[in-house]
Amino acid sequence: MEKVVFLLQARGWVDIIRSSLRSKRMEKFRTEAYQNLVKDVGCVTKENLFLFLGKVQEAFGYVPREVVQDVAAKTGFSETRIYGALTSYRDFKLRLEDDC
Amino acid sequence: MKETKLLTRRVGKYDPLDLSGYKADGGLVALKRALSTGFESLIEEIRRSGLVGRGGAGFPTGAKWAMAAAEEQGPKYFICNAEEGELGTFKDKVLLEGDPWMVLEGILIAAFVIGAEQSYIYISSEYEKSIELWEKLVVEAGRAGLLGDGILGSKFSVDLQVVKGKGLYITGEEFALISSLEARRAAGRLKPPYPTEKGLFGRPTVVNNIETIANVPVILANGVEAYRRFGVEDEPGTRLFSLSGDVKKTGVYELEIGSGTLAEFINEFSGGTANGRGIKAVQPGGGTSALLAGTSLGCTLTTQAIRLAGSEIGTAGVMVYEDGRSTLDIVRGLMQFYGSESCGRCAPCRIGVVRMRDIVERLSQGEGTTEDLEQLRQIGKTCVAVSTCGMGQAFPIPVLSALELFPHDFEAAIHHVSA
Repeated sequence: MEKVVFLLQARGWVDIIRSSLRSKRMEKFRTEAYQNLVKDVGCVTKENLFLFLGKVQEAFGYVPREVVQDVAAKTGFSETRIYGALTSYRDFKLRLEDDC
Repeated sequence: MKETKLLTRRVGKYDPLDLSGYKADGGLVALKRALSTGFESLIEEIRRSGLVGRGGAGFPTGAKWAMAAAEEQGPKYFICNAEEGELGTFKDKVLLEGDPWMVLEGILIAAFVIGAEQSYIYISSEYEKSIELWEKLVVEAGRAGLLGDGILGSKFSVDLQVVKGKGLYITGEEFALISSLEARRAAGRLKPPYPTEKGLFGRPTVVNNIETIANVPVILANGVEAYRRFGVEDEPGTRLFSLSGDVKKTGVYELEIGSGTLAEFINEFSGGTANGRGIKAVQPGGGTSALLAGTSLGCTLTTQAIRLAGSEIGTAGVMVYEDGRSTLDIVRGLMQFYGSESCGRCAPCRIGVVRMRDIVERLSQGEGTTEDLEQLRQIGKTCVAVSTCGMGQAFPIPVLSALELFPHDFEAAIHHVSA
């Protein structure tokens, strides 16, 4: 009986480790993809911010928080200012599962 | 009544990405001529051609260009508006995908005339295929020396950026469109100052509808006199009419302005109403134009005649409603759309559009009262009078016209409950 419980627990742990590895890989993939997008536009400025975020939206299906933090630092806009504009458009999504 | 193919002449005749196909059919003649002519005389030509904006407001294109060209300080911007959100209007797609090089030629001429160094084409996010095509087209044009530094060996340089719309109806309005390029929330602004003075990033900007731009190469290639032979004296040229609603056949048709009546147009091209009944009402200029009763479709297809009949030619999106359609259903459909499209910047539109939608909803569920009708009228009139931008001034119009044309339908909805 104890053996079975242990096996079940072990299996649970394996799952957790596996999924964390997967998300790490995902993370790396996304960071690379993001850096490539940045390279494509050269330099993210106030003028091309929305064009850039449009590309991010297309690549990831949403605009991650980390991206907003990054472009806020790059453009000098505050995060609030960017979110204020982003959330008013139907085509920008803030989470993957968002549908509005 | 026949189609007059002036703008859609080449649609489907060549592969949209193939520049040589366009060149072989008289393409780039206008651009070459324009680049060797001074901008003043080009403005004069456009002014004499009598070309007015095709996006709905009908502002003279020559005057708009002259205002932007007169601004001395650069940089200036040119934006081609293909963010086509109006209900019942789908003409932009024909030009975007059917004859993109002509649109590009128009953009280049416009940018040259006003002295813009950066231009944008803003395409609705619903037209994914068009966006894809245009992104390839820009690369192709760069290779052919049509974009970038020293276009066709001249001193003139301009770049074109394809911008995907953000899925909002309001971005079709010029200031809202500009705001969305500036990474602000899309909203109308009070005018003046007009975009030609303070537009994109506070610089002089011209925003033209894609159909307006498509007219430019035609005018310059064939000459003003040849162009003015089409249409009527006050309103030369052709227009692209989108036909939809309760009809057997929908589509986009290019007609000479004033070449026939609204009734003739619908009879000729629609193949009859969907269920073969008579026509109850028609919106001749997109979702925000006033309804015309089915018995008063004898007006010719000119701005003036349609205005006299009590509506607007607007975006020339003709929507047909046949007999048997409930008036409340028509109005409810429209209000459900506009009800979630106000940008929220000015109070009359922000509050009015929701209140009107709710009242219409209540009426169509049979829970309305007599006061509701009076309120509907009052809110509508207030919005038309004091809203900041075109959307707030226009969305109540179909509701108000329905109240005027079919008052019994609204009253019946109320009495139905109390009985």
